[in-house]
Amino acid sequence: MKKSSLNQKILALVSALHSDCGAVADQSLRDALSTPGLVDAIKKTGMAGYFCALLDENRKRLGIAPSVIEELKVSTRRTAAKNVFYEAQCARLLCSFSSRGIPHILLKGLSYMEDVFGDISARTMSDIDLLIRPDDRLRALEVLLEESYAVYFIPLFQGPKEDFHKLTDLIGEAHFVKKSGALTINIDLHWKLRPGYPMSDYLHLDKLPWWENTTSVVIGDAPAKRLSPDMQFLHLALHLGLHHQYTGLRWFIEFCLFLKRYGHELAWDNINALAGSKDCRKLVGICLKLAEDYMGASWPGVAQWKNFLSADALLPGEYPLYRHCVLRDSRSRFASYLCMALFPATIRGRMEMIRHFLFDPEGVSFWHGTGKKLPKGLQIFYGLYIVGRQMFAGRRAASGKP
Amino acid sequence: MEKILKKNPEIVWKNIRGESVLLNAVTGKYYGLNKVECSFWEKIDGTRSLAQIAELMLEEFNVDRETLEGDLEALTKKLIENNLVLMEG
Repeated sequence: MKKSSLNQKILALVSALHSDCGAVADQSLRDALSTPGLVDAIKKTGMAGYFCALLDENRKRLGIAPSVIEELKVSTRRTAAKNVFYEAQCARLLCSFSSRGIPHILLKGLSYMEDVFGDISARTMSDIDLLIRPDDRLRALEVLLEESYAVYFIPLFQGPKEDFHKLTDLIGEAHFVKKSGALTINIDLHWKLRPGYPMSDYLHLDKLPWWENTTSVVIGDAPAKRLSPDMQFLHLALHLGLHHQYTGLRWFIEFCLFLKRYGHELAWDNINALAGSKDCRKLVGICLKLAEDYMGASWPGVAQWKNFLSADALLPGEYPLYRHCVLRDSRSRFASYLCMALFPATIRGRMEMIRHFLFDPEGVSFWHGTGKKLPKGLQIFYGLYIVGRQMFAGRRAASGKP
Repeated sequence: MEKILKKNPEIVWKNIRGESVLLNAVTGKYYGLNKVECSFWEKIDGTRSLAQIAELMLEEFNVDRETLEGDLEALTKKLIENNLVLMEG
């Protein structure tokens, strides 16, 4: 069975597992569960724990084979063990930041995991995302180095702190790695939120009130701050749209489950005002409409898409592209560029995105794989070459040629 | 004098859905404990001996002393072999 069809079955499974439609939902569940390769596809999403818990609860009623549950449990235990480790390391780091008086917000992952999924074994984590104030980044760096983390994104950096400051300021985030015995822990430290360059600059995401109305959560035994539910919703939507271009089941399911948990509590008028521009509302509206399409019209919050997405914001064929992206496991670079050019809600905005990639020195700033700066006059040709190369690679992959 | 049981400080653990998940951060190996084993693990606090923990568990579970003590000895042996628990004193 095609991977996209399997992913569609997984989404049907999520919808049915949370449905109140009794026999109809049960039949849908049985259909999905009888699909060959489904358990492997579930494991590939990194959400074995979430599915294992729900399927185990409904095991007798649906007649699910014990071997299915057991197979998912093996993955769940592995995820749980790793996440327990991540949680302990995160708690330690949060305490260190607090003791130094560095304000911080825990983003995504652990911050809402127990509220949305029930426990921390539900899905895999690859890193811990922390948001700090821009002025605190050097102090945060000191803490991380004291905790034996190493800067990852410039492994050979040996210059003074001032240079580090200048270099990382361009990126707005830095990645840190620590080896602990046989395990590795990754930290993404953000002082700007740029989930999808260059749209984040276009949307002025840094001006959104990320630091307002934060709520408290306990991670391990450490108190932490997390985004308010409204801002968390916006962050998940922008992360899914901008950073992942609506690709990948895990982020989409997490977005849907957050809606399931908080959809009735969110202050939609506030979110609409926060989203601000037509472009930002379009991104959020697409997420909500996708959730309605795959989870059903009764899913909490999804009907709000009509207040965010205006008909003139989409080009013909654009929305089906995003629907298709959700079912893909990974995005191609070509699809990424295409989505970024399409994301703005107006023709003018789309032209600005295209101009960025063709003429802005930050659009494509390096020769592919060499690390050398691209002469500005050649950028347009290089941009077209990259797009053509991606299309050619995509065709070869589709035809099965090496 | 009876030996005291102590958790290996390198172990991180958490109760999740009725099971305990234990991870040895040094080796990267992980372990799952069922409900009864989990209760035993939670009672290891660095001050209690195996016999003292067995007494507490007898109050908690409807099981005869001989069976429980036999099971706990086997479990303790397994936990020590896997370097999850240390025996002191």
